This record gives sequence, C-alpha cells and structure tokens, in this order.
Amino acid sequence: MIKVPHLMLEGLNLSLIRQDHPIINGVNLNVGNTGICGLVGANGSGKTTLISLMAGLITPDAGEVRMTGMGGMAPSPLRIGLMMQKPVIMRRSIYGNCDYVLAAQGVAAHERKARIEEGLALVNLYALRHQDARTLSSGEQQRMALARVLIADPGVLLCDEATSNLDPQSTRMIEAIVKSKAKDGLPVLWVTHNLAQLRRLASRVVFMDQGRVLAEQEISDFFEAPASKEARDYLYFESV
Amino acid sequence: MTPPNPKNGFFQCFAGFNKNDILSRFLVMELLIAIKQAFVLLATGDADLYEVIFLSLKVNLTAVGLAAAIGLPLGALLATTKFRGHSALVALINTLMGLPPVVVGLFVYMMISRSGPLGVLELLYTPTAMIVAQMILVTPIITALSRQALARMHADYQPLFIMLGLPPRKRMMTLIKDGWVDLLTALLAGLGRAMAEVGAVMIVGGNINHFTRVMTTSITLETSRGNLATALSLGVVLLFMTLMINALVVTLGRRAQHD
Repeated sequence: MIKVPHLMLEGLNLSLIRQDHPIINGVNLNVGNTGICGLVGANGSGKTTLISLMAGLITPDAGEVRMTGMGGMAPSPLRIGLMMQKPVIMRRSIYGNCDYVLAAQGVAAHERKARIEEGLALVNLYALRHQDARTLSSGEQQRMALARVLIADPGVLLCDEATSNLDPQSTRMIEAIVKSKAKDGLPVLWVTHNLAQLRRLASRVVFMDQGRVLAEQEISDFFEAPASKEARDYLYFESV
Repeated sequence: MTPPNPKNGFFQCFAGFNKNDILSRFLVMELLIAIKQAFVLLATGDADLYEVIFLSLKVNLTAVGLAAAIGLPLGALLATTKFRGHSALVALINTLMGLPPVVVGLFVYMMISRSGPLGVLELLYTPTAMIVAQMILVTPIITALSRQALARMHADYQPLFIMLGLPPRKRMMTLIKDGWVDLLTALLAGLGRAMAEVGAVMIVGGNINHFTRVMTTSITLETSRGNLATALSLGVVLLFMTLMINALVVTLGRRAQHD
C-alpha cells in the first residue's frame, strides 16, 4: 500500500546561477514521510547546494521551497533539521550546544532540560553532557548534532553525508536512529555516496547530475534499471 | 692615581674577558641593579612612584574599557553583517591599528586646546585628555582583532544561525559570549598598546608632576635627565605591571571558564 505523505518539504523549480553557470537547474524535489529519500550523484552534481537551498541556507535565484501539511503552521526554518558532513560545533558543552537551540526556539527551561536529557540518552552521550563539545571525536560530534536536531522536533530532516567520516559503530547508531524516526513519520532526505548505505536506508532515490534531477525511482528500480545513462554510469561498479 | 687591580673587588668579575665581554657584563649588571632598584622602590612604598602607577592604571584601564565598549560591538557587527562599504570600513580600521601616537596626540591637542572646537571643556593637560587620546589609539586595535576572531567563528556558526532564524543582535551576543577568550586577547593587545604609549599622552597630558605624569612619561623624563638607572627601574616596574595585569586577566578567564 502506498503511504500518502501528510508532511512534505517541496522544492519547486529551484534554480541557482553563479557566474552565468547554472549550479541548480530547475529542480523539483519533494521530501515526504513515505520512507527515507536518498539523494545521490557524482561530486559537483549539486547535491549539497540543493540541500542548502531546501534548508534555507541559500536563497534560490528562481523557484521556491515550501513545507506543507503542518496543520496550519507557517513554514519556518526552525522546522527543518539539517545534519551536515561537518556539524556546527559551538564552543560550549554538549548540553550547552543543545540548550542553545532550544532556548533560541523559546522553549521553557524545565522542558529544555527534559528534552536534552532524552536526546542525549538516545545518542548515548548523556554521560558526557558537561564535556566541551570541541573535544569530542567526529562520531560523537555527529551524534551530538543529531541529538541537537531531533530535540528541536523538526518537521523534516535533511542529512548531507552525515556519516561519511564516521566509524562503523557511530554510523550504525545514526542510521538506526534516523531509520526509526523515518518509520515514525519524519520525512528524511539522505545524501550519500555510499551505495550500500543507500540500499540499507532509502526507499526512494533521486539522482542528480550537473544541477539537474535525472532520475527519481524506487530503490530497487534504481539499482536494477536506472532511468538515465548518467545514473547507469554512476552505478558502473555495482554492475561490474 | 693607582690603576684598579682587576684581581680585586668589583673588577674581579671582568678578569680574563676582552672589551666587548666586559661591556656586555656591565650592561647585564646595570639591568640587574635596575631590577633590584625597581623592587626596592615598590617595596618601600615610594609615594611618587605609586602615584604614577595608579594614574597609569587609571588612564590605561579607563581608556581600554571605553575602547572595548565601542570596539567589541563594532567588531561583532562587522563580523556578522555585510553592507555597502563593509570592506572599505574593515580596511580603514585595519589601517588605523597603525595610527602614529603623536598624530593622535596632535589631533586631540588641536581639538581640546583653548582655540580648538572643544576648548571650552578645558581638558588639555588633564588625565581625561590622556584617556581620550589612548581610547582613540586602542579602539581600532580592539575592533580589528575582535572582528577577525569573531568573523572566523561566525563562518562556523552561520548555518546554525540561519536555521534558527536568529536576528543579528542575538548572533552578535552569541559570538561575544562564545568567543570571549579571543576577545580577551584583543583587549590585552589594546592594553599593551596603551601601557606602552608615550607620544600622545605627553602631548595632551603635558607630563605634569602629581597630575598627569604616568609611567611612560616618567621614563622619558628620567632618561632625558640622564637618570638611566631610575628610568630603567621604572621600565621594569611597567613591565611587571603589564605582566601582573595579564596574569590576573588570564586567571579570571580560566576561573570563568571552569564555572
């Protein structure tokens, strides 16, 4: 049975031009809560730029990003959770990093404490909560970033190569948490170069090349019969 | 007159050395004597010396405090916002870091002298005039160094700021709070400049005994009088004061970090 998405982040006809060269060229993308959507493509294909446009970090030259199905709530950048390859680590403790985000959202102090403790327990960092976040390992920093995103109760989660530099244990933990959240209905866009990870996580794949979306398929179809020549080339080693 | 016997007394230490070695040893001894004299002056509570020290501290710390009140928010503003003329303003402030003190002294002198536009305030040859001159010298240093440090931090924090939709004022406050160690360094650089400054305070303060005489102007005066040992001892005291202030600030900073 096909799930009907009731919460969705949509990029409509997005374009971004730099020095007369289209970085993103009329891209339509929707991220709904029908499973994790994988975004793949070669280096320089525009994945990170697209995710930055969707997150509101960059303003598109044309097109718009909108969030639908939020029960009448206005679209807000606060409702978009973003995990980057290199997370923003504030010069504070782990707890301070999380507290900053909730305080900025105007969450009351007693509620902040409960949510932070729950979030840090989820990523197994509760015991280290008073440690300076800059002293953590890459895996711990990324787990902290995930907790910081999730405690803010995002309406959609965008992950840009969030596990590309991490050890298998941290990767497994992050994958498990994201998968569980997606199962609970959180729309997730997952950018990766790791095709094994793509198979593990995604139910739908969007393939990009030179700033355009060239294929958008179910995961099994994508690997079995890629919808474009560029996608077939991208998957070359899968077929060898 | 009997020539001194190198094997006896004071000259014993120069035995076996050539002329250059003797000169070097002599200078080292002068320095040691000056250091000893400096501590004697401090320990015996010489009233004139303490008056000069307190005035130096008052003028310099007030000037740095006022410069920080202007420079830190301005540095944070320049680090977090872009506007037309931003690069030109940053270049101007960087250039002003190298302001010649005598030029600042002359400018302030012209402003506050009896015939100047602010002459009615009668500030010439007062500690207030010295504070104003020092503040003009130190403000670009604090602004430029704090902007540099906070701009780096802002580049790191910017995605989070955008995602949270924070207004510029909150961004600035966050950067100042999180970047206090770097800002402390900027303040200390400003204080170092103020403590070492002599040209501007001499012009607008006049080096008046018991009124506008500070450490650096005292050293200049004693040197011109030929009292090199006294000048050197004052220099040691000045160095010691700077060291103590740095140590105090670093200690307070560390304690704040642990809290």
